[in-house]
Amino acid sequence: MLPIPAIPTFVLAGQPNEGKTTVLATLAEDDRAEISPSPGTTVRCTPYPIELDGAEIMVFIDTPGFQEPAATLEWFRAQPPEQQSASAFLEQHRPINRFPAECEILQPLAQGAAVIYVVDASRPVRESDRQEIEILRLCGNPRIAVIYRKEAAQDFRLDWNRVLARDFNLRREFDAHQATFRERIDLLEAAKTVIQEWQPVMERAITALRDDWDLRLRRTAGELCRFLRDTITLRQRELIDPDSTPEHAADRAKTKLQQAIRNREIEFRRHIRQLFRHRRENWAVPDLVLTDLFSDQVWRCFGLSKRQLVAAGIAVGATAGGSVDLAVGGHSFMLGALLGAASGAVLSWLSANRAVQVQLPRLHWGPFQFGGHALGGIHAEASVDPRSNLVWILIDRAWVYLDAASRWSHGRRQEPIPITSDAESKQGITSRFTGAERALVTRLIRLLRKPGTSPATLDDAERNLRNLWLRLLRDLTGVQHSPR
Amino acid sequence: MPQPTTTWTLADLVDFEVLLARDAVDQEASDISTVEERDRRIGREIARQSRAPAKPVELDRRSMFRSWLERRLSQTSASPDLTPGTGTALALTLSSFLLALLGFASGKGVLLVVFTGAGLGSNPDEPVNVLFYLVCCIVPQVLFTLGAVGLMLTQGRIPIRTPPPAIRSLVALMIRPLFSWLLGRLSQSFERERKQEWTATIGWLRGRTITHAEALRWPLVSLLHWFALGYATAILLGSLLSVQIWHQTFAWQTTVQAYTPERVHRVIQHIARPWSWALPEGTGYPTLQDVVATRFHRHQDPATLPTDATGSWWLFVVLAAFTYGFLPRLLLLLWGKWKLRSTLAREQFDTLTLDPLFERLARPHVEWHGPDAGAQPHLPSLAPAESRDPRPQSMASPGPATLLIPADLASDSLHAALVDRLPHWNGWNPAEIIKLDGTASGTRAVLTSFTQTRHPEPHQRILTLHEAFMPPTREVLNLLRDLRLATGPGARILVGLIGKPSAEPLGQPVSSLHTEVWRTQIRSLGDPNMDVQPILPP
Repeated sequence: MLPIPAIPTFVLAGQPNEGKTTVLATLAEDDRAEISPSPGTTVRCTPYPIELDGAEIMVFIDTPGFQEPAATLEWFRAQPPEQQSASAFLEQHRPINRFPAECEILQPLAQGAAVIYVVDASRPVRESDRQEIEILRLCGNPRIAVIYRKEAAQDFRLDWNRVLARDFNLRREFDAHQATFRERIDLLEAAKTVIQEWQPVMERAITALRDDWDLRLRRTAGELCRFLRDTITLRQRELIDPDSTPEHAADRAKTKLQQAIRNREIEFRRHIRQLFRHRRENWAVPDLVLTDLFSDQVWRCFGLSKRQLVAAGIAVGATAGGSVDLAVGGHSFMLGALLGAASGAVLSWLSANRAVQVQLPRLHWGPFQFGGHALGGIHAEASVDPRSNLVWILIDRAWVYLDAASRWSHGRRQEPIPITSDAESKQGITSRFTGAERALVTRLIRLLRKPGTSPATLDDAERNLRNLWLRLLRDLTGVQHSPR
Repeated sequence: MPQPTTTWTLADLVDFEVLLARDAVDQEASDISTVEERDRRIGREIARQSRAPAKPVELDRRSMFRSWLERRLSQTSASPDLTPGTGTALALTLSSFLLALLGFASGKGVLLVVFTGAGLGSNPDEPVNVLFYLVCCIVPQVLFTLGAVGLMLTQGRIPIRTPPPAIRSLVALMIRPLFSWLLGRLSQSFERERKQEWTATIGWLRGRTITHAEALRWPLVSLLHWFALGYATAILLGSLLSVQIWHQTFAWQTTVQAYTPERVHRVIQHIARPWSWALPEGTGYPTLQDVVATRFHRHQDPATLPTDATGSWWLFVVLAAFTYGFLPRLLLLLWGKWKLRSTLAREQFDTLTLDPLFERLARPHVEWHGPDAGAQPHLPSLAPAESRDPRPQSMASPGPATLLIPADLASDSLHAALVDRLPHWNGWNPAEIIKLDGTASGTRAVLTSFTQTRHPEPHQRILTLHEAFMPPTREVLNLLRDLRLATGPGARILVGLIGKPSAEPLGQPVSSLHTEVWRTQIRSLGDPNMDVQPILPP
């Protein structure tokens, strides 16, 4: 009679180089796990515990593949039924260091761990696979088969399902290279049924993982808001030297501001990588996201169309003008809103392709010109033009990055398919926003640029925008979960 | 178990903000998870110590953050009495004391001028002009009180507009040379990194002052009140002392004829209203006769004024100093302190910027633990330690060959393809095909047949077929070693690799990666007459 471990323990078994570590890396979101196309990368059993507040609640054990399945099965078959067990095998072979790989695999099985048998359905079933399956069956541990395909071109799932159906409690297809969070959770949901005693603990673990994921999505939403807020409020001032022209100072300010925006984008991406636990530096992203932010290519593919920008500008202008109408108690016959809308439209049209605006303070008084109310001298000040497409482009690029980050499997080691950058139409998420969704963004921009906005009002605008990002992130990742 | 305290002081607020700022810097510099783990640990401790440990999220943010603050301070501060918060509180206390002293000195100075006429060219023996006393000592305090109350009541509801650019430019033009000189001297004194740090700190401070504007306003207002209280105390004590110890007389004088004694008496009556219900005319303030009697002219002999009348003013003077000077100052100071306490008591810490901290404290922290990168030992060689890496002898000797094919792969089409390909490829003619069923006993039987029927030719040729995408396990290598033992040292053993199944009988071409993997393992056997080749190279 096999013992039942208090903590759900799953052993990943299978042929060498079958993808066990890949599956585990994907489940654990750990891209530090050594995955290599060469077999024999894993030589020892390696536990991957999940901890909830410091207490282990689940353990996955990565194993080296079976090295001598035929001889091992011969030993099992030679034993009387009561000796056909992992512990008997270990008792005989461990002391003499025989069958080292099999002893590594069977050690946790002797302690009652369940088996997750990983098979690559892009290759046919072979005799050694049948031998391994038979060994696992004789050990008697609960068994789940995980079927995935290293290569999409080859498909032997039918054969595999036929072979696995006989001897496995559960079979699941799981693409370790493409698995989303929802698919990972689905696998764990399936795994929790193998041993009844584990169900409560695994329920808690799965709920905690869902909570953790939702928390990460909320933090991601917060990071995105912070990124936008920091970028919109960026200012770069350059002193206008007496021996240089204001235009030179303006150019310098603009260049420095553009660089500051690029740096801020890099920092945002670093935070996102940390949130989604991508530690490897060679994690791949789509091309368009790596292209310079201010390149024509990026501006062509991302952001709003001119029509959409103008519509957003009309909404903002009408709101501002409407406040004047309200202030005069409606005696302006909505002229404020109309004029505001018109000027908003014109300004948006003119500013569409201008990322940065530069202010040169000048004051004319008759024939005299002087300016520079700053004590430090006359400065050219560059800031993000709130009516331009830049903010929308930043959101689009950030969204592509988030999409990749949230769905890039940690077991994947291949290059992604690049996003085509030669499309004529806008490809970003903002071009598909509804008017209400765009209004949330423009509201925050407007409040950030308006001096004297109270923190409570800003918080309110930011919360609304965060809720939008959160809803979109939940849709993107397919996980609709509200924590307790 | 004591409930977590929810009382916040200004010192706590400062410490809280400083620690948050440090965490923000730490998170930028290193992994987020360090801060997460620490805060979650603290969150669990808080939950354990509360009376309702089951659901930590039910603890409100005030309590959570207060408890977090206490633990962080105990962890980070070498001396718990010397934190930024306590330092700020100490600085405020010292500043209050100094300002109170300054106010006292100012009040004393003003009183000196009023009572002795010092600096005004007056006769010090003359009685104190009550009107002058009121204008110098009482009226400013009343105006200050009204201004302070107005400011405190509006509480920033009236927006303060910045002056228009023209005014700012004019001001800048005037003082810019001094500012530039000062800035230049400072730039020389500080390194670039220090200046950047200061800029960043000032920027951060500005941001936090906006969030805590309410709480920060009252201590600053209190500082002003301390000055004013010192001032009022000096006026009151000085007035009281001078009438108690010296024979200080009071009268009134004015050049303006419209200020008749009756008018002056009416004004005095109004001023004395707050205490006239307890100390009526004649006691709390002088009678009309006293007012008439104490009108005097400059350079008039003070001895001509009736003593009783000149003395009747003293209580009015002292009470005016108390009622319109000292008391409002004290009340405003206490009000300011109460406002600070109530502002801190109302603070719910529910701004967006504090959400991450609350989540770190309240939400369970999930961690996956895996090996450190590089912790895996290298793959141990499956070959004996004395393995050599000789270059294999040429396999290209034509002749008959025995093929060992796994039963899984064996088929007529494969046999036919091999028969077709091998002679052209390496000159080997498949003379015998043996199927390996993959079982240990089956393999042993085949090996025994090799041993028992040793081929007469010294250079027996044996091709074992394997799928390249199935890595060479220990079992495969054992088979090859045993095959060598069974066939003798001279036999040529070729490991032939085929790729994944395809429409072609020989399968897909073998990738160079798979070939290299097999080659590495086969070479580790150190067998000079063994080689590995893909049947269909890429």
